Amino acid sequence: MFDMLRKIWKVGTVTRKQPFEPAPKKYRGKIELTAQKGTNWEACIAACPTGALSMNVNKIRIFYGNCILCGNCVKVCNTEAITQTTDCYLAVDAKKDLFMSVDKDKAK
Amino acid sequence: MENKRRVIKKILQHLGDCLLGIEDGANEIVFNIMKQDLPEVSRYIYQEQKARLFTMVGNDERQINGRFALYYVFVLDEIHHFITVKIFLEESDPTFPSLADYMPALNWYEREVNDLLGLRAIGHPDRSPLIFHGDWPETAYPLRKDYVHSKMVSCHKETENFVEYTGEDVTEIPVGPIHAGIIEPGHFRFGAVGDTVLHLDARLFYTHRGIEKELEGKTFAQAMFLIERVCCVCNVSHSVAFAEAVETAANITIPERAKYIRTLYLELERLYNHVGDVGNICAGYGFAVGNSQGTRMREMLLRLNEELTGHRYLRGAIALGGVSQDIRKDEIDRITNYLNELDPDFQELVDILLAHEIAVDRMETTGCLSLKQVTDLEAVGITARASGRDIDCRRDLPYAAYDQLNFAVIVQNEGDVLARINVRILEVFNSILLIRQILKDLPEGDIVMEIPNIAPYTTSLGWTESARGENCHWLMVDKDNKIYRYRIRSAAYSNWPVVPLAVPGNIVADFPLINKSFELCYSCCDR
Repeated sequence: MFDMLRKIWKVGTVTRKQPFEPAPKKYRGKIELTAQKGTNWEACIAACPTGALSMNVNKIRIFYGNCILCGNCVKVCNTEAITQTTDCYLAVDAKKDLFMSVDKDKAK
Repeated sequence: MENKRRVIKKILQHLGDCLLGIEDGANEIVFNIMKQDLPEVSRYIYQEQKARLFTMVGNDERQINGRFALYYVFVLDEIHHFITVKIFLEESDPTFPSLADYMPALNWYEREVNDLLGLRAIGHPDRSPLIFHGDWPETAYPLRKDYVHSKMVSCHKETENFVEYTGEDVTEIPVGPIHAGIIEPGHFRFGAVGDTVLHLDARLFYTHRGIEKELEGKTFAQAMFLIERVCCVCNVSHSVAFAEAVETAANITIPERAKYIRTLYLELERLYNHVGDVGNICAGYGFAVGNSQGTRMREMLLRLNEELTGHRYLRGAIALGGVSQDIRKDEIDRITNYLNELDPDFQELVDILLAHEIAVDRMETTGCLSLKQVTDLEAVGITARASGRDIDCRRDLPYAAYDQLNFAVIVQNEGDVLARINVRILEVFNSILLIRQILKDLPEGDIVMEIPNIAPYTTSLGWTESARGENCHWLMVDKDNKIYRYRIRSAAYSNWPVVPLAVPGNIVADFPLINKSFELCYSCCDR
């Protein structure tokens, strides 16, 4: 009985209040797209195992509903057009917000 | 080596007349035989040579040679060698002699090839479907190559094949498939007399995702993502088994550093599973302090995993031909520091748990399994070792860097819930020692290498000891370096058949406790 109480007292409260500190550096979070000239988009799209990345005429589109955050597209990308953030808050209110697209050749 | 040659020579001499062909590999020998010789040949290998059944695979090879094939993979632990018995079945007569009568472990395998491939075991004592629950038409076989993936099939009425009780004293208690706790779906039907369970029927396979079918025709790189998702808490074990199967087929040896880091991730996975399970068992008898302390330590280990690899459950850490996440010097210190904290912390939990009279009273002599039961049904992992079956493929069939590490295999003889928990507790300390050894001896070098092209229709095996027991993956490559057939036999698939045997004689209220002591997955059993 006393060993239990001692343990509880020693450990104390371990739950934390939100917002938490940012996720660890290696965390594979939300994929961000930015338009950049000279990006080999075809290679990135081919590297996606779930078909979350797609191209429609000159729009590159990512569907977060299919993205499994593996980071393959980031690895094969020849520019900085695709980056992986440590953002883990991916929930949205409507399905349309799960799509994001950029123009293929237009640099911001 | 000498011993190996002698044993194989002896088997060859005995089987001489039956053999149609032999394919000899580095650690596997394949015997082609006629299907009518199957009972005799496998009885000899299984009973006289004391081999154990590793897996059984049904394959639709009509595109290659116009026939179906069955592979019975046995393993001789003593000489680290696999013996595969291969039979062909004609499309006009897709039947084969059943062996389930004297090898009870084959019960599920034979029913599975009937459900998924339409290959019938003649003489099987139980013809009821395993994967499907009677609501699937008997003419559609998903694993046949001519099955149209997108086609709708007509639904039939479910059939039940539970034991029927006569007499007034037996109460039938149906539980599930949807449970009160957050666990996976499984239907349990108890036949109870008063509080005591007389018989338990378990109906699983509610989570069939068709992963094996989906893997066919995928490249290895694409397949990796699916295989990581076979099971959440064993995903390192599954992905290492897959990577090893591919590497064996390609005949390459991965760099030493990659082997060590793989072993590190495998042990980190075992560690968080075991620590969590020891805590979780306390929930089986409402011991909240033990439960919350176990969960807290597991959470700390998951956060450590996240820091090391970017994923709490270590997904994406294993790559084909090595690992994708290297370990830096400061991360080694981070792991060492945390293990130094965990070691006494977990010891305190163990002291509290094993000194608690009520807790020990609930666990002792509950859910007993005898050595004969686990051996006959080929149970693996914790379940087997807690009942005195001394198998651990980290030692018996070393993979990754286990042949260079020192560790003990924990065996207990009681076979009850307490024995299974004791094995887990000791394996936690074992894992901590193993991780310290790995970090101390970690060699320098590359962590990943390219996979060369693989010869068409090569078959290979990959295996790992997960926290629940050995997983076995069987791979056949097609002519374009893609997957032709993939068979996953997880630890849960071998262990589930013994769970209903452990329950009779216990009170109904002990079932959650017994079930938790096995801690088996439902979906990696079903795939």
